[in-house]
Amino acid sequence: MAQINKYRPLALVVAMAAILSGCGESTSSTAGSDYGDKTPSTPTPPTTTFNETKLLVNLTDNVITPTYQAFKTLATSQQQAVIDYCSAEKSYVAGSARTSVDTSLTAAKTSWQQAMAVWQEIEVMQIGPLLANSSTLRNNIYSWPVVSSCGVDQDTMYFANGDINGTVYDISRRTATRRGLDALEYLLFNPILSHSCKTTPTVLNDWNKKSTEQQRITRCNFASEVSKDLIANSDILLGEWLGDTGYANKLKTAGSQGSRFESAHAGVNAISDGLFYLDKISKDAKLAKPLGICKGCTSGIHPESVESPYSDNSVNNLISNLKGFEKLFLGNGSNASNTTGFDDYLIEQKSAATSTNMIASTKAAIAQLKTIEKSLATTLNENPDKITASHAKLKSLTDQLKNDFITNLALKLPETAAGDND
Amino acid sequence: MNKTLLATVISSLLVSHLALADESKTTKKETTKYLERIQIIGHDDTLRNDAGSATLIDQAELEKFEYDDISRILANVPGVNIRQEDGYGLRPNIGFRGATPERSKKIALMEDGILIAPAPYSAAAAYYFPMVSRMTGVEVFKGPATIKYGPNTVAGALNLTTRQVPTISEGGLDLGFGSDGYRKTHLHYGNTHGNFGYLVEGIQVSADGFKELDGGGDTGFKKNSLMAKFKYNLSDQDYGQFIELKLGYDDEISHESYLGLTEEDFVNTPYRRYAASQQDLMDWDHQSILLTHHIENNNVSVTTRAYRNNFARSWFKVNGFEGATSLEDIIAKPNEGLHPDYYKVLSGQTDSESFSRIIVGDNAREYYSQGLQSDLTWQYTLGGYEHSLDVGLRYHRDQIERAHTTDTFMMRSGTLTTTGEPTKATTSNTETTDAISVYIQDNVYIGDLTLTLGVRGEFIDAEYQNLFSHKTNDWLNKTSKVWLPGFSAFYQSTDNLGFLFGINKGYVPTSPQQNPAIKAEESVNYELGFRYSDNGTKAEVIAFLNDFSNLKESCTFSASAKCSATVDKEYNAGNVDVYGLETSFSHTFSVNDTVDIPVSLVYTHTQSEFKETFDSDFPLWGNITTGDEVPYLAENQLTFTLGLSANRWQVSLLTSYVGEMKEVAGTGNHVNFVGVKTKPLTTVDFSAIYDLGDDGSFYIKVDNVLDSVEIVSHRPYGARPSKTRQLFAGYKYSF
Repeated sequence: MAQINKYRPLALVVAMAAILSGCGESTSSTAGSDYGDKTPSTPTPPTTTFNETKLLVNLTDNVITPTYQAFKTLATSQQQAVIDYCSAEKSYVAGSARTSVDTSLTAAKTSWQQAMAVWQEIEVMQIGPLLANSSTLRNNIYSWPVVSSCGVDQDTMYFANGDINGTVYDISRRTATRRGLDALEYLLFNPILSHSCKTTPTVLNDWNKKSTEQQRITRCNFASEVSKDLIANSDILLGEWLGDTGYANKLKTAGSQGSRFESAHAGVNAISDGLFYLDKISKDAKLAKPLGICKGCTSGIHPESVESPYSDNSVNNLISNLKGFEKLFLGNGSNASNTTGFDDYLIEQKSAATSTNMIASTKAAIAQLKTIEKSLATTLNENPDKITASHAKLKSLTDQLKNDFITNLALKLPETAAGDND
Repeated sequence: MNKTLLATVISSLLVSHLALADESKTTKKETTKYLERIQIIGHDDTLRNDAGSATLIDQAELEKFEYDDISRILANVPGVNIRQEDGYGLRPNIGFRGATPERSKKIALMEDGILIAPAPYSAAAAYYFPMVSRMTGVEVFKGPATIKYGPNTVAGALNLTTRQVPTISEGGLDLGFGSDGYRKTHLHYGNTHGNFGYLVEGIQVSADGFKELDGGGDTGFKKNSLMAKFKYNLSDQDYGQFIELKLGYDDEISHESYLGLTEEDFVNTPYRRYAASQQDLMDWDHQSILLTHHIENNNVSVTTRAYRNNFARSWFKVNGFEGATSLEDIIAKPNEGLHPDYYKVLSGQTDSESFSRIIVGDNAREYYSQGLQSDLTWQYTLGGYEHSLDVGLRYHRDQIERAHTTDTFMMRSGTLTTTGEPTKATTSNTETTDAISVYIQDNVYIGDLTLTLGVRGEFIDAEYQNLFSHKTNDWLNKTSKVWLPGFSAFYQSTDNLGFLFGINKGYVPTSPQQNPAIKAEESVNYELGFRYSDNGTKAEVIAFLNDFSNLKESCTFSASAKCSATVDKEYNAGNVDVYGLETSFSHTFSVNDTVDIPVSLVYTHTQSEFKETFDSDFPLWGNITTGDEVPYLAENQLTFTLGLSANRWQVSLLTSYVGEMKEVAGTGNHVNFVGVKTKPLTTVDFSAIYDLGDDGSFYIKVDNVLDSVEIVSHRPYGARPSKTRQLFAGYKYSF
């Protein structure tokens, strides 16, 4: 009995704790059809027989790596084309015909467009090194929509002077808005030679005193430097991607012991995050914003917001985005014998309809964009319905991406895709 | 059933009124129990026999340092965790026993026993906080006592008590001046004529601010607070009874900002504010009305209160760059990626370009909170034991209506300049809650043992509705109910020493718009300790454990700039333990017949750990591994107060130490400040008061004597400094 009394307080506490822990909240709810936030933030990975590692290996080895390597190749030929153009510019004798100069400039522009076409495919393949340190490497190669023509004008002169306030000019230390494909586009395609700054910075005080020819040479000299920098950055990308310690290998071994990914599914999720470029950038920034129809956008047509305004390359960029997406989705890369892609994963998850619909939507969006014969900016003014239709086609695809795709594969929506911008 | 209970209370009140109508007795009974209702903790020096850690800072203690900032006042309370923000305590972040301090949203915040947060159920974040300078008492209590208040019972309650209507002519004047343009004017007067008493009180506090805005500009604030009370005594010889009407009006204009500094800029100029925050302005007003009826006899007291609080605010502040990464990312990593381009615009060094247009948002919101609550205390004897039964019923309704908008600005030559584009509506919705709460709690006195058993019920109907015309089907209705039991015991070992134990269920409801998959915060809270009181010496030592079965957090602008896309979204963390030790000790040494040396020591040790491994997008968590600590919770906090007082003067020195705090719990590239901790902060405050007798008194005080400055947090958007050294002087006169 004394023993019982001794333990009575303890028994009371245990009983109270049991009662308290059992007093949970009960909740019932009803929601409207538009009530959002239906997607679980941490979906449970599916029970599947699908080999996610096989998917990772194919997408890495046969799609992403060859595309990164192709960009390096094109960046190298691009540099040569720019050097050739510069030589022609420097050889030009004032008053003579500019035919040879224009020919080499056209070749340089074509080379830029070829490199850009591959880069726009890479835009939907941003993972690992391209996202590290606030996307520093990606922005150094291509920073759109954050671009600064005034900044490029200033660095054109800084480079020509060889120093910035007594420090030797080093493009690798310069901010991303003054280098990369966007800077090169401005230097090669912009026919206006006066600087673009609203107020003249000190470094550009003497710009307008230069002759037209001096201005062209100064610009092409900096274009050479920018194209050289692009090769350096594509080398950095491949260096961090390839090799035993490269990111590609980490992706392919996702889920194994010591991997940075806790599972192969987490690796798949990292690739799928990149696909959402189509939603926030391709659809919203490249189309909805110029159309003035995105959340928070100023209404009305905004041709000044289009991508690649000097080269009129905007539509090609969008098509390349979709082609890059299509490669990843279908798993179609350098090895035709292995085409394991997201479509196979969906079919395995008994979501063949989603796969079929998304493939069709991708092709439909590309086809619609190909009907745009003039530049995006011009078409916005002349025939905005065509742009609206392109946006609608793209939205159809991204809606499936945000809903059916991630739900059927139990993938997590990337943070950047939270909320609806439409 | 709830309606029946309400009807019973109302009818009992009516019956008592009718019964009293015929009375014509001459000796009137006093309403002594009312003070206990609005001020939970007693003033006397005897050993309290209620369970739970409870601290009262009374009027004399409050006047010792004349603080306007509740966080400085609460340095004297064990178990309080605070994240400082603006230095003046305009929008305090207070938590107890490890509960998130964010906007004091997890504590039951009350004024005179009435919930005072703008919408305690629908949007608990206390963007309105009563002006502490006009309070005559501050109470903090934790543990099972919290179940009488709610709905938040996970941490504890903070009750601020206002000045009572005096029974004789009584007034006061307080004029203060200080550094950085600080000014305080405080007046109150009240009297009672026969059965009618009244009190009017007004206070204005303002300062020019201690931060320096790029390009110049105001960083100060001005706050006004007016209160009037009208009381009519209905007592007769059998019943003490009165009705009282309390009216309040408060407003504030403060040039405050969520924008902090980069680490490098903080080292060079800790009190700087970037040019991008030039337009930032908080502008709010608050009205309150409280009608109280109280009746009591020897054994029973019933207090019934009807209340309504309105709060409207416009919070115009820099949100970020149009379409760009968050301000938090830019300030946390100013040299990465494209951040240098944004940073230069933010700090006014370069003009905006098309990609760096600045978005300034007005998070305009209107709130109301209203209800009717009745609390009954009945002292009776049953089975040979004395009991004290507390029963309460509350019907409460509150609402928040958001009308958030944004405007676009460009940085031009260091000045934020509007683009002239139309204002855009970004959020328009309402969250509304109807809640019925009941509690019943019985104290039984068995010799030296006091046992308290109680339970609280919350029955919540919550509605969310998007108000945009194209989003009418974006709505959610939720019904929740929960029972929250508590038990405590106090054993009085000697006249001076007692031991206490308590256990209660903690709960914080989700907001109406949260996905039903997000669980309410729930915990089981334990405490065990002892209390000692003997002739000027008081000590209390309490060990606590808050065992969260689900810890919940919400993403707000004030938590992180990274929340701008997911504002007010809530997150679950699952099982978390917070445990520690709260100790307080005070003693007054007598040097001679006229000089005393009062000393007090308050120390809190807190440990916390997540019990589950998970990845979270919540910016203060990141990827959590079992064993990680909860952010913004110092392991050690210490406050030592040393005084010297004589008949006509007293001086006090308060030294507070707050240990380092993690700014993010876990890891991950998607969260900032991984591994960053706030540095330990030691602050010394000094005050001196000289009593001129009938001519009033002078006081001087110095906040932060050592002029120490540290980063108190990197939230919301970058490093924020502790308050600089400030000198104050003032004159007080009572009449």
